[in-house]
Amino acid sequence: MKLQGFGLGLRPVHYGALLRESHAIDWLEIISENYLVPGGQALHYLERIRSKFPVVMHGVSLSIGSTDPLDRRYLADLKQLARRVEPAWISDHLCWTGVEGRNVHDLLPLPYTEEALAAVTARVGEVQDFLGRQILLENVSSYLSYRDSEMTEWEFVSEVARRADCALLLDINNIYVSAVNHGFDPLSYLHGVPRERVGQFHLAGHSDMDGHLIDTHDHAIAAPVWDLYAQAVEHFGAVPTMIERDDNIPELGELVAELDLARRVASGETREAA
Amino acid sequence: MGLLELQRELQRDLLGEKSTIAGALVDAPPLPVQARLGIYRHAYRARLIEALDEEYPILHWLLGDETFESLGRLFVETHPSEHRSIRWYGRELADFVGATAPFADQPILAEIARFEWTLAEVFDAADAGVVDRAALRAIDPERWATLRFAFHPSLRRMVLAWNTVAVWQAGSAKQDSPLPERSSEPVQWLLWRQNFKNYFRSLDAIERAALDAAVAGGTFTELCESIAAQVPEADVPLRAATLVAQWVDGGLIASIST
Repeated sequence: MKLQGFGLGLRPVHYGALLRESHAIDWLEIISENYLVPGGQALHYLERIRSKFPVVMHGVSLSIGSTDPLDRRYLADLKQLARRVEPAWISDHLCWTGVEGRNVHDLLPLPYTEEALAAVTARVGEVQDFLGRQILLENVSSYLSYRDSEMTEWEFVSEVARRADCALLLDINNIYVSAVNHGFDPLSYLHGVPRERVGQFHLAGHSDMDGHLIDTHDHAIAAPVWDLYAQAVEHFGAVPTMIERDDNIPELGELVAELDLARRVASGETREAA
Repeated sequence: MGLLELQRELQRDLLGEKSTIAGALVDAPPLPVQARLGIYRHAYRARLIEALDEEYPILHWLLGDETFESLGRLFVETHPSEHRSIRWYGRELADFVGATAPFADQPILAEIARFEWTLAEVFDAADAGVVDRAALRAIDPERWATLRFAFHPSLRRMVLAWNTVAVWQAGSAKQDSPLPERSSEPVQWLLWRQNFKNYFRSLDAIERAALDAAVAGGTFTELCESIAAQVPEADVPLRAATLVAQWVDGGLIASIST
């Protein structure tokens, strides 16, 4: 299934408004884990919303980069949810979330080494075989990097996509946040990623901690991220774009207005967003 | 350091254990290595405490921000998550509160936590269709003796020794909380979901016995026998049928079979 256009993250506070009102939202992205429950209200609303909007699934605990064995039960649950939701695509993050059976519930960065590349590539293959579909992996924002790294993050990300034959979800805000925190040029990142692999963009707000940035998803999208987004569209063309907001969540209308701004930036109508 | 060791060491650092990860990290502006690790350490605790806050809002309200935060920190220190979804983190909080000073000095706190966790279970329990009054009426009276009942998957029962539910209700309504008070005898509560809303009510001894029999798969006849000691003999069938009708109205019965 192909999707185009501009989506929002589905958040429970907006269930009512999404069902009642009519908004310019082309599709919705769900956090898969929020719906991995036996039953109840969440699945009930998902069912109703799914009949009104196309949906894509975005997970946070695949832990594709972990040295622990893949969690087959989680994958089976994910596959079952996908059968129910029929998402246009399924994504998660290029990171690890724990080892030794633990889950720290954070998106931890990998060292950019041949060893990690080989391990991740094999696991992406297993996951895609199990789910019977190609997945998208998202670049995470990070606050630390490893001395052992043998390549840049974008070389690593690109190589995973090529070797494992998966697609990429480029989070423009994460590129910007990491660029500031690690001192690289975000444009080199954009230009270093294979165009044909990029299936989705994420946009989100971050917090400026005076010198470094934290990916908090609790603000409107910042001006430099809009600027980078404009350059991403110029480079990659029209890629399905979605805004994530996880904290300090405003009324739906405010997010729809921000999404409209994304439309205008993407169409080249405006570059000056903030 | 290989990938496995890097991951173990970084995780140890996040969990507050002794770790050699700092030496394996790039030390470059804009942040020193310890500050970089500090971001992850902080996020780890904050995220798990936030999960507890979502599961236990009334416990939070009773304890206040500061005390809830320190309870959360103590709990997180000793309870790393092993769940894929953060939704399931924190199940052991009631036991922890009941066994940890100074929270254990107020036994109602552990009961509040257990009540809140159970409500969350009810909320997310599996879906099922329910039997309505019309379906109940359509059953041939001849068949009643051998009827068996399957209950909605959200049904939970719990025994509370304190005025936990009254305190919980005050907290939900943001009203002044009554003082903790031990009931003259423990009360059994019934919790369930109907039309995606949670409900609860206390059970008297008769309904408790009837539910025990019915939930265990007993027939209507066995249900009648279970309450026979507490009800005048002539009233037993009507009383038992009234209970079944009440369960049907509450959306508690998923199916009836013979």
